[in-house]
Amino acid sequence: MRREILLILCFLFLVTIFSFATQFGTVTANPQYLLPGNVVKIVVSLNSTNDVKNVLLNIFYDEATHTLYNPTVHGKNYVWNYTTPRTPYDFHIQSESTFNSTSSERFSNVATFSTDIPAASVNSTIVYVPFIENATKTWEIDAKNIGSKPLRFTAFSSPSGLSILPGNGFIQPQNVEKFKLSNSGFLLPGHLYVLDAFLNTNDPRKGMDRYLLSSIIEGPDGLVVTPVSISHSRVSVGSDVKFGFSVFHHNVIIDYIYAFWNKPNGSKTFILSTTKDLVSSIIRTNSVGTYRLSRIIIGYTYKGTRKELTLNPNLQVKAVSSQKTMDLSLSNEALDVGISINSSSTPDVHALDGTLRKKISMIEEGTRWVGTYSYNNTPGPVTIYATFDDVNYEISKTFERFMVNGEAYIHFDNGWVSIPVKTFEAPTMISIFSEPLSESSYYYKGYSNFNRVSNAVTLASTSEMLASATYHLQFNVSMVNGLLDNLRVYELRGKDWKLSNSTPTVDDNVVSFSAKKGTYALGLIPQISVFSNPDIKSFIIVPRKTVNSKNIQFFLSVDKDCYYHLMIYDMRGRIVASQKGEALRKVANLLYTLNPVGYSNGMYIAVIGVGPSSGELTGSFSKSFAIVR
Amino acid sequence: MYKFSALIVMFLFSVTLFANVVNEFNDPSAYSRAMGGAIYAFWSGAQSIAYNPAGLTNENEEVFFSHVEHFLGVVRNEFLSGSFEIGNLYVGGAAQYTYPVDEFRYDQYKITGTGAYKVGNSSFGINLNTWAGSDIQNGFSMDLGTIMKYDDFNFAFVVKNLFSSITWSSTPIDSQNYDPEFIISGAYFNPRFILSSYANISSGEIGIGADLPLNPLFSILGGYRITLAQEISKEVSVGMKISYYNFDLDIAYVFKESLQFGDTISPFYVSITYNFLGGK
Repeated sequence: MRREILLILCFLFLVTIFSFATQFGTVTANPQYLLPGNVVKIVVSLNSTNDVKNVLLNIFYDEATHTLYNPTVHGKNYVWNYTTPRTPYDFHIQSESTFNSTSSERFSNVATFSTDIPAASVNSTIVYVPFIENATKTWEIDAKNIGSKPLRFTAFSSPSGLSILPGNGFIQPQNVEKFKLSNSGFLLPGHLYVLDAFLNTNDPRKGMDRYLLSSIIEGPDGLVVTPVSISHSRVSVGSDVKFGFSVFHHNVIIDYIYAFWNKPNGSKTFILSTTKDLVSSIIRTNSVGTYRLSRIIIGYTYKGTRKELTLNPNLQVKAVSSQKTMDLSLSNEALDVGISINSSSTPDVHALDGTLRKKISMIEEGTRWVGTYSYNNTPGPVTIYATFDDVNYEISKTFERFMVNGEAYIHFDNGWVSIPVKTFEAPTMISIFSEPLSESSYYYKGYSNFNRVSNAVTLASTSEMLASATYHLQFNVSMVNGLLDNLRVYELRGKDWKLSNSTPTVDDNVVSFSAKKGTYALGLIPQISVFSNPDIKSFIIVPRKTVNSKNIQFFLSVDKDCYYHLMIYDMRGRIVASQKGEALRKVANLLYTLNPVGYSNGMYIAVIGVGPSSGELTGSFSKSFAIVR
Repeated sequence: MYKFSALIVMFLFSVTLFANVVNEFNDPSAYSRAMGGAIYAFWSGAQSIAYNPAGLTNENEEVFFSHVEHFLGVVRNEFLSGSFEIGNLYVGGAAQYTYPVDEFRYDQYKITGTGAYKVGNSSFGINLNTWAGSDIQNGFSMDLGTIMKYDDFNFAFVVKNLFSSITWSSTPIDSQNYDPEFIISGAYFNPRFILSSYANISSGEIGIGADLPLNPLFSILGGYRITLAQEISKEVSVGMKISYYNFDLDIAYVFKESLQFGDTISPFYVSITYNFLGGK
């Protein structure tokens, strides 16, 4: 076969050389590329028709030679409509003219046409999507190579906004490729978008190199949520993490927006505002572990039908235990927030005040870093966050500002404040900060004799309150252990927590009390009888051996409310730490948290003494533990 | 002179108090404990290895053993030491084992080799210490001490845990260095009683003690010690010493923080010494 083709080519070569010398006409084929079985129009244009007796056409393909006679004559043009064979070939053609006056023949040039080509066949579709939403839509379109050679293709979207798979490649002859189209762009409802998916191919047929796979028309109605963002992904436990996203919609009514967080010890559902395009809130990381924003559900009404859009962001925040802490204290006299950070390394502190981001200068005072930030007089959150060179997490705290003009109900992390009418003479901005009290903040803020069972809340304003607000604080039921009569309100005065004069009202797991601005928390007050000696039920040290400078905590269980005195001795008998206080008749009073930094490695003894008065310890217990840093 | 000395002592306290010293059990002898820990200026033989290596030169060859129930028995300490003399040169060794008994797995060993030399009324000694234990890879330190006799007085100066370094089995393995401890001590000897005192300037320990021999076989002992740290720890100690043939038996009981805790965390000490030479 190959040898025969070579012979034909040699023949054609010689004939061509010869014919150039004696060329009498020009032969053309149209189209030059076509499918087998299709008709090709072959035209021979002669230089002159004088003396022409006859014109015939020789067709060479594969090993065959085929001659066409009886052309249709139009002036100097001799035309054949040739139906190509069902088998694909490359064809070579040349005309041969004979004359009346001479017996010699004259030849034309050699032209070619081919049915051995790659050729695409696509059933293009038009898709109309009137409602734009986040849910990714996909469409499938088939393209077939109906030719006899591999079809090379490249897929693209115009304008960009569609993802097409596969993006490029080959389709073997008579094979079908399935193209998957999906939305990859962000389309805002309110507009009409036309997105076309095309294939560029090597199909040689005229005008057949580009195929429309599908034309997708989307909009203008719809509901679209931007990707959810979180402010931090790794934080110190107790930090606030802001999360937010934008909701764009057209011709729909938003009914509700829920965000579901999975927490290390349960879950939390946020009911978010439906009136703003930018939706955001703050989750407080009260426990060590992973917090996961698992679902966002948006309920909406479209053309009278209630529907839901569910998103699964699966964003995670890791809350880690830390030696570093941050405390915020809101000033009642000015729009200032005091920042105090406990860290052995220099913190890099910034304030995120609305859209402004400002660096805060910190001054080292002993083991703490302190600074002040003057925040803007506009409602909204203010986030103070700190980063450190020596750890891979951040600390973040957020407080909120509200403009109060008349009656107001202001919610925060673990409760709400009811502000009656005429509390302020004029519209006033108040700031509210709710914080979980860390062990270090107890000590920093003068913690003593205060068994807290709630977060602390601070209400600050630059103008005086003419009436008391009603605070509603949720308390930790498991920590109260049924001792509801022991619940009291504690108030931060200066740097000491003092028993407040406010009378608490307990309802379910919420305590309500009236007070003006200040910092408040709920605690349990012991009711100690001097006539009854307490017994130690258990004294637990966790962990018994600390490595890598993790804190050691000391828990005490007693059979009745009492005073305690904890002393920690080293092996030389020196008192290296101590704590006095009151313990409640409940399981596991956390007496003390020992930060082992600064202590020599080795074994220590914790001695706990309990008694009915602070000066009389009637029972004691000793336990060993070790520090191995 | 006294004012000058007091100023020096105050200066030393101010610069070295609450230094980063090794957290170890450093007072294993019942006799010492009954004396408020103030035996650094004594030539106490084999038990001196735990206090002042210069005290090894007591012209005896001994084996010493003590058992301590610390903090009402939560922690125990066993100490075994021995000494012998080669002319004016004394050689000794000691092993100490500290461990809790409240279901907590932790222990600490200390091995000491001692050499001491006596010249006239003075003596000098050196300890070479190594540590091991459940959380200790290895450790090393050196003690240097001297005792000088002047009339009825003895004076001592000790530097303990010099060049100390302990490698702990933490993650990552952490080798820690500790500050040396500077100890000064004095004792007054009278046929009817002995008075002694000491101060560990680095760890904030100050103690005084008295030994009242009632007869050659029996002495009663008393002491008072305070340790300065976050709070002051106060200890009143009582004890007795029984000498019979080549044996000395010492027993001590310490009222530790007795005003707050009664006797609930009070340590109990017992130690025994056997003298091969029968006393000289």
